[in-house]
Amino acid sequence: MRSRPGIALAELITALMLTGIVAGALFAMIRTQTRLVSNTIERTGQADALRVASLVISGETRALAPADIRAVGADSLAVRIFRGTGIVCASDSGVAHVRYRGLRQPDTDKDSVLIADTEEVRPLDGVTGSASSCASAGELDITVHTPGERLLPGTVLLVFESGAYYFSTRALRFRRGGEGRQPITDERLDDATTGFLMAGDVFRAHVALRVPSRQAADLETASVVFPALNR
Amino acid sequence: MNTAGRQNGFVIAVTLMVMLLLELLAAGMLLLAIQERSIANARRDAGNAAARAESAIARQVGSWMDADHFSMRTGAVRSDRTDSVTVTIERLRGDLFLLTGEAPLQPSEPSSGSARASLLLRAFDAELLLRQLNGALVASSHIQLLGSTVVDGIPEQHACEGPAGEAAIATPFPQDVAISSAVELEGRPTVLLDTVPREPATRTGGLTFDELAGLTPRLQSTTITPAPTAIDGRCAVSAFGNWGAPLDRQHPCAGYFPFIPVDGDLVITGGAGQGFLLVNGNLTIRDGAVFHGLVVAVGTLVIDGATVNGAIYTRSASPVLVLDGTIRLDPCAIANALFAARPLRRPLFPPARMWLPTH
Repeated sequence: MRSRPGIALAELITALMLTGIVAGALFAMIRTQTRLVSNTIERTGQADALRVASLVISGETRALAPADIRAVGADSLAVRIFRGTGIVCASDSGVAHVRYRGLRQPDTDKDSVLIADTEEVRPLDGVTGSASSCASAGELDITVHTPGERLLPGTVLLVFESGAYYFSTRALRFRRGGEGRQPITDERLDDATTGFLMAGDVFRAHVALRVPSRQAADLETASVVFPALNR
Repeated sequence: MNTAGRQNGFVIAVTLMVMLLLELLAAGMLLLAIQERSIANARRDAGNAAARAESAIARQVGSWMDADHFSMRTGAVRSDRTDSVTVTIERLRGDLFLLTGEAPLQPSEPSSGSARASLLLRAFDAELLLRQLNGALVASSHIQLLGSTVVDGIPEQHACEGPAGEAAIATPFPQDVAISSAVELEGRPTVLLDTVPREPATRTGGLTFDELAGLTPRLQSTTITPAPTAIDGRCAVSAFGNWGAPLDRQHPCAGYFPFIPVDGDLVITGGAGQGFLLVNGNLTIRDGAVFHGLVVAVGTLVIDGATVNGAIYTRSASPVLVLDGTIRLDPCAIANALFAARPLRRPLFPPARMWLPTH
């Protein structure tokens, strides 16, 4: 067999080198892109948690009166949470026909009634459908039982439940009575630096998010002030 | 080198795969960015709409005195639409108004959803007070009528929205009415056993004395001779003792019907005035004084040689003494006192809560 002069080895080495360089560059680019996407998703999730937390808290507290705030702790906020508003159309002793608008129907197991202009609180003894029809669009006709009391037509009833919001285990959570703390946001918050603060008549929630970073101490914080309308 | 033959390379395939992967990653990020942008836009629109609804309600409150909401009947509803925001004003009760503002999330698209805000306002309830007036002299205590006193519960004309009855005297204790022989009583009946439900003595037209007295400058205990005052042909409403001109229809103050809250005792000696006199103490009207309108007194009432056209309503167990006085039921004088007094149209914010949660 005659030896032939060739460049196969050199070609192979060159090809391998070029392939390695190109593959390395591609891998670096893909890894960078993947990390970028991952960071973006993480930050989007954090923004979502912050947004949900501030929306829920501001939505629940904007129309609260001072008497509705039971307690403000470093990590908790116990308040009346309003679920609907009713206006008495007619009443007999202990039974009021009400036009009602709310997030849900009143629930005798957990709701009470606040009479808006007098601030008197009554237990909600019973709720049934009403044969009367005084509701306008978007409202329901219901009958509210308030034993031993005759409510004047036109009286405004605020249906509420008592509950507490917590910043706990990296999420905003809600608990009513003896229930567990149900998460409202994803678990992305920083427990140590997230909390509530009541300064004078200004209510503030300080929400901290741990930002994905090489620096373990990096936090992205948002301090949300909730200006209550009924100061 | 021969390149004309078929080559089995993979570079194109790898390049396409890598490009596809990169494009997928970029598309995912773009999608996230679009979602975030639309969420931010929605939140901005919701915040703006809520602020517009609240502002529209605040504007209605600001122009409340110029609008004639005070004349709305209980249960009446009015709507006002300005700049795509609708404010509905509903008189829920005589003393309670509900204002609801509704603003579309996007003003150019009414069907884009809306944000709402609701505000409660309290107001003086003139109808509630009128329902409790069922005679020229309404009292819940011992009444003594002496001398040539005249108490007339039958109005001369019915042109105005009037009280609930036409008795000369309405009292839950008719047996406590002492009448001397020269006294003239006219009414249907002359002395009525009063069973009308009354609001607590601490409230008048649904409001406390302090709430009512907060609507306009109040008088402290004093002795006064009211007389109309005009400057440059215009009624000087801020002049002390100017309570309108009930006896001179041509006077610039003829159409001035003040609301006069008095924190303490008041003695009126002569003079003439009109309007709504609310005395949180003892009241004496004497020496030929003339008053047209409604007199509400919490303490002792003495009328000595004076005239009241309208009605007198005493709120406590303190006695009433009328000596040579004249009390005539006058629905128009009462209506002027209650509906023409501008301070009584002022809205009041409920002390604990005015903004309501909306759903």
